[in-house]
Amino acid sequence: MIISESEIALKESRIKGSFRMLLAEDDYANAEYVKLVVRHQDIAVIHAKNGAEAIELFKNNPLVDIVLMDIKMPIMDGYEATREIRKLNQDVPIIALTAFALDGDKEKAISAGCTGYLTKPVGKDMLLSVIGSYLVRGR
Amino acid sequence: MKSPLIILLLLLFFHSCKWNINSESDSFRIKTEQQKIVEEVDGDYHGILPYPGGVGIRTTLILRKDSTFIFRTENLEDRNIKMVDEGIYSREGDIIIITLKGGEKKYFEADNGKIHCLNNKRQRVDVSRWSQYTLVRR
Repeated sequence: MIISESEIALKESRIKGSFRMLLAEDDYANAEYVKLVVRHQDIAVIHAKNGAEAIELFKNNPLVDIVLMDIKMPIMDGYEATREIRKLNQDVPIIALTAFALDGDKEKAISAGCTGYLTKPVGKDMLLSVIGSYLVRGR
Repeated sequence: MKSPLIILLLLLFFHSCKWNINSESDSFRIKTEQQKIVEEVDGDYHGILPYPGGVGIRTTLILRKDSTFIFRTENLEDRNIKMVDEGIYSREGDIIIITLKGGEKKYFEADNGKIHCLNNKRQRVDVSRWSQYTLVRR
């Protein structure tokens, strides 16, 4: 069994307390995959199915350590939800999660307030590596 | 004058007894039907739930007669990534509700030996795209 550096860092950092992730993702299959991978790392997941729900859940859970934000969602997209969350919290890492691979998407996500960017489909190693790097940095 | 009154009281008494018997009988029938519903869904349900770009999540839901469940998920790409949740499930008609560690609720719909995964609005997951989002009893 190979354990990546990010997983080791997550395990060591968790001694100081468990992590909470807000996952904003409308696609059931993607959400199930992400939840399985991160729950396996003892990261508690709060799941929102659209941008508006993400904002509500963020307001109700101010101790969220990281946000994984799908960009294309119904009711309110990830760009707008990110801008709203940034009005509430300037520090929480927000990782954009999108199927779009077009030039300019990364810049658009960053300008909306995202701190990082992942393109779907996201492999387990890449997902944990990015999440781990932000969580460990924050502790 | 007294006898019609006595007869009326006797009729009311017998009617009341009959109603009680019917009521107990109905109650017994409802309990039996509820028991039958629980017996209908207990079993081991299996499936591989796909996701974009991956092999899938092997999913097992065991529902027992005593209303306890075991919910196992395993990432087929990396079998070290697996979760086991246990607890007590509840039912609302055909809808089965389980609560995972951390409080997340998951919804399923019982359907003749199959269990369909539901989203949080208790709607079936888009079957046109993900027809396999169903667990089958073995």
